[in-house]
Amino acid sequence: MRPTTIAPQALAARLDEVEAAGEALRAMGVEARIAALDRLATRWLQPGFAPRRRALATLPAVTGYAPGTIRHAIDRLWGALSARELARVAHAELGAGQPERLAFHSLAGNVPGVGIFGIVAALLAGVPSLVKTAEREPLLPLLLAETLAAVEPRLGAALAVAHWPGGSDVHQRLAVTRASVVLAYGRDDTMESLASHGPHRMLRFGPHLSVAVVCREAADADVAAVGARQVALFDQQGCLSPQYLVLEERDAQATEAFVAALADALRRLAVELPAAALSLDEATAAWHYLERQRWREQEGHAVRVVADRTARFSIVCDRGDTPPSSPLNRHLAVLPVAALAQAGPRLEAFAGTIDTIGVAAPASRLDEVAALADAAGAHRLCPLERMQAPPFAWRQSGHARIASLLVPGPAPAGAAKRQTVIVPAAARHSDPPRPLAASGAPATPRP
Amino acid sequence: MHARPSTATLEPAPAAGDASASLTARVLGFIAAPSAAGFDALALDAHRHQYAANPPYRRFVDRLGVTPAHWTEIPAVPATAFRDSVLACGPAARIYESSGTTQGTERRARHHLVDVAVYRAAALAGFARAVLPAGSRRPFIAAAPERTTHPSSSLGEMLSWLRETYASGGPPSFLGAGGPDLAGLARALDALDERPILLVAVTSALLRLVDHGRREQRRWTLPPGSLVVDTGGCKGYDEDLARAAVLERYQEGLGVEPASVVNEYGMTELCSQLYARGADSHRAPPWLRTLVCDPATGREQPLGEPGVLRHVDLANVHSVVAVQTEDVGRAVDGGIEVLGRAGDAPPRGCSLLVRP
Repeated sequence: MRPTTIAPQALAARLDEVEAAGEALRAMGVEARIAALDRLATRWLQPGFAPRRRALATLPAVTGYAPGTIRHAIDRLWGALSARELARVAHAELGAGQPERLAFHSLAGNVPGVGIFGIVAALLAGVPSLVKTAEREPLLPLLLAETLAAVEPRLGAALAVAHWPGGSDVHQRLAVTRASVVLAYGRDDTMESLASHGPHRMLRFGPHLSVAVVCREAADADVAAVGARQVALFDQQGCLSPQYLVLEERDAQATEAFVAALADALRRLAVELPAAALSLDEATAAWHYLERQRWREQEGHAVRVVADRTARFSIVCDRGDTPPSSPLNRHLAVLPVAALAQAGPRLEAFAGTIDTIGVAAPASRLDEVAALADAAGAHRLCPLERMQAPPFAWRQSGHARIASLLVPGPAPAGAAKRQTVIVPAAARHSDPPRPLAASGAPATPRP
Repeated sequence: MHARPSTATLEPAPAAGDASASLTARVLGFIAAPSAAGFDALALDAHRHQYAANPPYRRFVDRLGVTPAHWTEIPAVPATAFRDSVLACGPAARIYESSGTTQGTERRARHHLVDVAVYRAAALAGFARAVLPAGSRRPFIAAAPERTTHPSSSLGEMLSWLRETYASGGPPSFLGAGGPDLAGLARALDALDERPILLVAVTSALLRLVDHGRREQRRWTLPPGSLVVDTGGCKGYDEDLARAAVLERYQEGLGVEPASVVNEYGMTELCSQLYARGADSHRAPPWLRTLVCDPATGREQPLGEPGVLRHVDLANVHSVVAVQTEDVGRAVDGGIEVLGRAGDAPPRGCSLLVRP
């Protein structure tokens, strides 16, 4: 599907309308907003809900992701938006200030639904929103707006979804300068392009990577399968995708077995969740990455390469000082360490860029993992199987979910002072860490 | 009683040096007088020589388990291997390094040349075929690496050979360690007389010269018959321009027709170069053949389909004859349309692509 480009005049009119709807939105009260959003989430989780069925039918072709991946994206998105979770975050974060006047969300298309938590957060905060959809995934935001309007017109009126070609100066300037806060998702060049228009305030949801950590007590084939699934979901295109797996080593033989189990799991996932087609550029990058690692292995470097014949996935187990750089698209680097304490130095190269650390460890070792996450500056620590299923409270790119959409102090009168404020990373969020089940395998992921 | 084995009938194996010298002579002969029919045998002989004398290459071929029967089957070393290994069939007479401007010194490719004469012969013969026949001397203006300023640059070495071969005079290169001397280059163009010149420059320097001229509301008109040779693409320039746009800017700022502009495609890992005149595709000399391959399968793409470029360069006789690049292009009638470098494209979304 090709999204329709909105004309600049129509965009200006939509901005007027949506900003005006902010008053009714705020008048609703937060409990009513939570209840409406919960009703919406419940509908989206029902198998027969027509918009859900439409998304499941359409998005695989639009995004290239497997139907199973799309189902995961929709289930984890709406599953995270229960009244209880929304209320928990709202009560914790509302009260830090007054709602921003108008938010502009510039979405990325790499992972379906990637900016929807931000949109929901804005509604909870009482901030009306204009959303620009991405070329690659225009559908979910549109369906969100339609279904929201059907559930609660006052919420629906406070959300406008529009599309224009990325980088269109006239549209971008209009949206950025009218909004009191910009939520910018995607690549660095997208951020710079938006920042060039001098937003009042901009929250950057820029490129990050994630890391899996497996303690020696957990390093078995079941955990390998769980880790491989986190790699396969969204083909490592999202910031929650593990690019590295730190493996606390029992012995070389066990490491070899774990790597083989990862490869077996990725092989199975190639059937269950087939990877999106690669561009020539991506295929070439993957081929060259693998050839380089194979060359290093051939020449006696401390590297072991396990890959499929056509370079559609690989495990590179690297004991060297410089971790290899994954070309994404299901290429995982395993970094063996003798003890968890040694993982810190190996992750130093990624300081400031780690979003999530997903862990498989017994309860007795969670403190060690938490210390590692702190040292690495990770925004989130969670069980391995939850890496790609963040809770609503997730401090995405370090931003507090709702509080970042509030203006500290009394409500702003008139136009805010014009300046770009890059909100610094806030404290790390921990999903409730769960110890391993008695069998040694992590417990079954929550529905 | 055991008879002593006779040595009279045993033919001594040729010394490695003899085989190497013989192969060098054959490659030089091919460059001087190419014959399409001879390419395959010479490429396979070069491969066998490299298998015997180049240990990392031998390990690579053994790993793949390939015994090529045709030049298209010769295992192609990934260009990145030049960063990690010494790929040479003997002690190096010269070592050329890629600029590494974007990837740091530890990521530089190093091409160890056993015999510089082969590189010189290939470079000069290729230039003479594609750009300007040897023996024609003219004022020579350069804004590209030269041996004196960039001693480890293979392009710098080539430019110095070109100066020795073609220059009737001219200032030293206007490209220094700190970038192009635009004011100096402008003054040199101001001082031209009616004699046609040979202007050899990195593309970014010429584009910046044109910008410099715009700022100063100036433009030049090169003497009729002049030739411009540029190389390096838009690396180092603010914009990533299509070739047609580059030619337009040259026409506007330097007064040179596209047909008088030749683009050089070369790399540290190769001893031979391809050239494109005006908006035409790049053409290889007879001793270099290029395959356009599907990166997933390694198989050759149909005519017109994009893929990654794999070069088989006979002038690489003492390193590795087949090199798999990261450059993307497509085969068009009689040439190669170079589309750019794979892997430079950013990822689709918010996943961080780590670039060391």
